[in-house]
Amino acid sequence: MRLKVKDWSDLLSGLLFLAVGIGAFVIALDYAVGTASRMGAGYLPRALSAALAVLGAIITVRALTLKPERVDTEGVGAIAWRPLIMIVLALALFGWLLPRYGMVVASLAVVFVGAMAGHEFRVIPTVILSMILTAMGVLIFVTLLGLPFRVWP
Amino acid sequence: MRNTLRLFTIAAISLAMGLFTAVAAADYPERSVRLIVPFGAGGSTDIVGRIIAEPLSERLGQPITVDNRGGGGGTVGTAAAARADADGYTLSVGTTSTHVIGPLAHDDVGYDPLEDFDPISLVAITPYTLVVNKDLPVDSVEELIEYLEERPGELNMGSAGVGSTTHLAGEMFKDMTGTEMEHIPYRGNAPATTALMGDEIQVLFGSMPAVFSQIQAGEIKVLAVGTQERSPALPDTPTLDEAGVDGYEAALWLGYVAPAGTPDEIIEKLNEEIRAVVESDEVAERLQDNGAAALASTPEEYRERIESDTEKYRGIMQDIGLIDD
Amino acid sequence: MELLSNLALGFDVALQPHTFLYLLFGVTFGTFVGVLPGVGPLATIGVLLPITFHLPPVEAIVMLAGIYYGAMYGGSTTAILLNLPGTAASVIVALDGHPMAKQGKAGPALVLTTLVSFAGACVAILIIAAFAPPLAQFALRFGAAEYTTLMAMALLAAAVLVQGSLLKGMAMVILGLLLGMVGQDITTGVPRYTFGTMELWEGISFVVVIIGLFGLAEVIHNLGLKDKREAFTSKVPWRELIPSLTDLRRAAFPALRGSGVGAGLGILPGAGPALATFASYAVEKRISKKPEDFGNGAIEGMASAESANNSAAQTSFIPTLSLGVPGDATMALMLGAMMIHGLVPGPAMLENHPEFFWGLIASFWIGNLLLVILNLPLIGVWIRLLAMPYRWLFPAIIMFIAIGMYSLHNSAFDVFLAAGFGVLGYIFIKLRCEAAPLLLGLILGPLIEENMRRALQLSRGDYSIFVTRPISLTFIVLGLALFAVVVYPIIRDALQGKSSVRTAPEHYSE
Repeated sequence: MRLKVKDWSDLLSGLLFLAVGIGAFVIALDYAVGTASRMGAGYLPRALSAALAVLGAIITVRALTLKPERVDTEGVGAIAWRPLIMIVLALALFGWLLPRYGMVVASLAVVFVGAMAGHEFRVIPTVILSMILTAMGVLIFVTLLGLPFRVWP
Repeated sequence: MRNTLRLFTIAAISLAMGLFTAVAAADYPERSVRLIVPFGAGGSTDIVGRIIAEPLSERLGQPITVDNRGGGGGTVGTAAAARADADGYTLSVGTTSTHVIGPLAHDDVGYDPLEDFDPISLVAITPYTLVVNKDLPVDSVEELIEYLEERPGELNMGSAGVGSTTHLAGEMFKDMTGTEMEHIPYRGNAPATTALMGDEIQVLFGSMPAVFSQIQAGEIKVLAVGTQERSPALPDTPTLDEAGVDGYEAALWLGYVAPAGTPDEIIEKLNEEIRAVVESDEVAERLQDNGAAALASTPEEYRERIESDTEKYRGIMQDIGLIDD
Repeated sequence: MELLSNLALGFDVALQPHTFLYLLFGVTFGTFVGVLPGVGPLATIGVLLPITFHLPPVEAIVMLAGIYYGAMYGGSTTAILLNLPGTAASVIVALDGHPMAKQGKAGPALVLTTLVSFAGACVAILIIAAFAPPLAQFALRFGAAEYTTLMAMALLAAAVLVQGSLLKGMAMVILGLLLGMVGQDITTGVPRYTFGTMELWEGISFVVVIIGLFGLAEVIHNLGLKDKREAFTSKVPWRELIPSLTDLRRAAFPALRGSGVGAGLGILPGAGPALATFASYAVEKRISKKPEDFGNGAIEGMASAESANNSAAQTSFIPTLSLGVPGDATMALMLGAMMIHGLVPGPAMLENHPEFFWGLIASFWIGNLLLVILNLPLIGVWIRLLAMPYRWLFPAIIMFIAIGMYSLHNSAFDVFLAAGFGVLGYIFIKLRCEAAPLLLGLILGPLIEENMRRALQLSRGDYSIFVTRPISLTFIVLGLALFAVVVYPIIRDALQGKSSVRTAPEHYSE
């Protein structure tokens, strides 16, 4: 018998909660439990992660057995891979570059790479944009606000 | 003949290098110096760091930029400071929390307080004060001890957190006087002070800057201070040592440190300038306004302080089970 | 009457030319900083602190305070126009504010928030002026047991916040509670879920979570929608910037209620504007006759949240000024600033430095008024500015977020962490899990746990402490009543599968 998935978003979230709940519980096993009157560091983490896992299980099951009128036909939808990856990359680059090469390099990078997340990305306008924004950034944060960032490499 | 030539060359090069570093030190600093304060802006460590930094930067003729890097109870910023270039252009503020307690309490803070740092000079010391709720019917340390002996485990003693210096100061007291109190940790000095005022806890070994204003306002009662000498800010308050707990000392010291390997000439120059600043009247007064006492030292004395305090607190922390033997 | 003479003294001080100038600078700068996504008042005040060393005390503190609540105004602007909240409180404002903007009502939304904030401030200031010392003493009676029951009550209100699936909402709250446990356990000193890093020792900063879950996720999601993204329109003629009389009428009572809740909750150290905004919104939603509107542009929700926000921002100065105890990190900074200038907060302050205390209070009012005057004309400017082509706007947002996150602790770790939460937030959007309940859990979790365990420590393990202390008992009773009247019907409806009250907010539909 094949179980029909009635609601993908619920199914996946249920699984997510279940997984996180179990994971958190396992980690919490390392912490002392104590008693209800003298709770240890692990008491509430265990209780909460167990509750999360249980909820996750319930949600998952319901996603497989919903009444027909609640069926969600849309599913999860397309995943925006490019924006997701580029934005994470842009931020990671920024964090890595700023302490080593200064704010100018880091800002240019984050704006440029970040802009690549968009579907209307064009090189030349983006280069100009990154230069303008970098200048603004330095002006506002270093000159005006006085944050102690290294500016040049 | 060849050996003499070789010897001469080595001597000449060493002399040149020595002169070079001396010259470099004489010109030091040639640009702005970064001071890492491993705590948030406006906190007591930050305030003391800045009180010294301002006149110091005037004497050095270069700006000192304060870089607040809070987190991990001071360990995150200190770890960053340890990794900085040892050229004298990055200094940091080292305190009992960052250079004694932190490394003891955690398995890996990312630095070794003595190996990775060249201490420059102490700048200030703030005592831990024995304060009690103003309605508690005791007016001296003796009376408190008696009161405690009549009701073991009944009173609540607060702290700024498990393993914090306020906690350890309290444990030391309990140990040395043979009394019992229930330890209630809080998230920092401020909530602990509120709790004391609200009678949720009755006793607190509060860090001076945090409780100073409440003492002056009469909101809480101070029984004694934890430093070896009386605090200039509270000249009428006895030290715990005087009040009957022989040999008691609990204080938070602060100083300036540099990454290990910083040229000696630079350390010496900084030490000279910092001492001059610390020993000036205005700085002493500003420190006092914030509950701290000025305290200068040589680099060696600073290093010794770190070592002896590490031993002392290691013992206490082992006794109460915070760290393994 | 003493109140009047105190206020008169205050206004006298606050209206001195020098003081006024610094106030003006403070609120303007604060607004500007608040509008920038990712940068908040904490970093700004921290950075400007040294500059104030050389200023006379009153000017210095007046300016810093101006930055603080000015940033709140600015933060609402970005929250409403771009769905980019900067503080926990502005998350709630955005819940209804942003949908309003998308419906073409950006102008009225912004105008309303400005007016409503001012109203909130007025109420708060009156309360402060009339009741400051007794209020402070009252706050002292709040011990661990009281905080526990109060926060637990607030947690119940989380059920009201949930717009879609109740089960998922509850799971999100629990997830938030768990996230709040990352860091050193205060009661025992043991690190939890820190995976060995020292950076997580003090827990996950909720600013990072907000920026990631709400800000970055939003940007990623928008980019994914490409041209189907609904922007707010900028083609709004001047006339339509002004809210209609209906709008004003709808906003009036919620604003009033919000300011009351805000004033009350702002006084409690540790609670702050975030909690006040959540609570006020939840109350408003519950007493509304059309709760399904909430989350889709209900003026009442936004008005109530914003006025609670600003009201709490003003009253959160009370514990700092009257007791010398700061309620949160920003207040701790202010306290430090005052100490540096030799102004010792506490009951003594009212006696020894009344001109400072009342001058500051008066400056709050003047500052808020200035903000209204400053911001109203700027609203048109913001709308046109932020309606620029998204392909230019969003990289700027990313950059500001990157810088803002880095500036929290001068560390790259927070930038990486924010990116991580951005991914998580995007997953949540795709899976139709709501992030607001998670945020509530994140904020309340540590508070509830810490206080509950402390209450039990104080009572030496005796649970009756929660019912023997009168204030705590009151909260329990209120909580039970809240459950019966508010929460139970929701659960009952959900069990019966009634979906009328539970339409998912438009954000989640593609």
